[in-house]
Amino acid sequence: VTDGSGSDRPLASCPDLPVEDLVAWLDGEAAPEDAARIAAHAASCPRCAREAEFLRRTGEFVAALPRRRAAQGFDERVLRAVREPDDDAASAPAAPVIPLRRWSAARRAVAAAAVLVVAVGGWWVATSSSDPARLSTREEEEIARDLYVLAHLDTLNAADEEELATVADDLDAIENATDAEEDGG
Amino acid sequence: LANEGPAPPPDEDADLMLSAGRGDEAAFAALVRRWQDRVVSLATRTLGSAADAEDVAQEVFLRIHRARGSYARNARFSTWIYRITVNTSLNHLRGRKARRAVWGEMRPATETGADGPRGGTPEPADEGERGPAASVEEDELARVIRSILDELPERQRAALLLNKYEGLGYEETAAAMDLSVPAVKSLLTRARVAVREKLEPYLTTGVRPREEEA
Repeated sequence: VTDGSGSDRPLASCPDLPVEDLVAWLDGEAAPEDAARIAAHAASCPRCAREAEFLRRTGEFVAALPRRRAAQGFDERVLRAVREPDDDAASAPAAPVIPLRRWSAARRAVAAAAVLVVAVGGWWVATSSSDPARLSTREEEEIARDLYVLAHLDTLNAADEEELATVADDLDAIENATDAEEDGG
Repeated sequence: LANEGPAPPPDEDADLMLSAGRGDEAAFAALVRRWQDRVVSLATRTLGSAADAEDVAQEVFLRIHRARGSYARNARFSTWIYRITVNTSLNHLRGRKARRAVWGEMRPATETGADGPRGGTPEPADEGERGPAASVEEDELARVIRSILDELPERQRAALLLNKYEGLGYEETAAAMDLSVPAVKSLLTRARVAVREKLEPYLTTGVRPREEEA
């Protein structure tokens, strides 16, 4: 860290005043017993005085960043979303209730891959949807599935026919759930 | 210090939240309207992306609604909602990074293009958010500072935004981030020094920080 003046001098290297104390003093957060000492030092040390000025202005600039406003109708969207949590849950993919521990590795992997397809499809739909709640509530599940698939996809190659037949039934169930969700909007 | 002096002012938001917990949906609606701009604003700054900020803000209010029955007046409502906003925003950022790591190659060009350090849709100019006296220079400076904030480690950025942008003291910033006050003090110092270092050349010479030159 340099002082920004083009030299390699350490920033606020004053041995008498750690920069952390200087920042706390500028923020009005220094302990009362320390505040007078820091103020006196900052008044007598050119480097600390300069540093204090830049740090103070930095804080002011961040504080003055423009505020954003919620879009028109944001509150209505939120209130509409909180009234319909049960509908969202009913239309969610079947994946969260799948008892993964009882499945073979191949079955888990294929199911996860299928769910992944559903999730990514949902992501594409959600990003173009006017209902941001669905995207928000699905994202954590999507990420977990993404990572799970990466860890298990290789087991697909070792699956036998019986396992794959079982998996096919699972895939049908998941696809049906997805179709129902998409049909529901 | 923040914990000395007169008793804290009445927390009207906490009253509304307790009413919402008793089933008063009008109270919850009032909370949404009282806080929506602040939540959207903080989410925008934390994410560095206006595009996702309202999604995150909606998730914040949904989480608050789900928790309405268990809310207790253990802390100021503001601390609680700031905490949820920061956590939801940071979770969103991490999810976006993970998704990009897995699926980045499959995204359309518009999703993987030069869209800033954290990969979201760049925040548009803050049109209409400034008073009529705002100058071109001020808008330019705001853009530079946003760019610098984008490059901060996420916890430094969150601490700096809570402290300076939202005006929380060290103690409330620590509570909102579930950290100790010394830890917040350290984060804030590092953030301030990092921002100040990048800002100084711009302020003294007019040269824009490196990331703004492209």
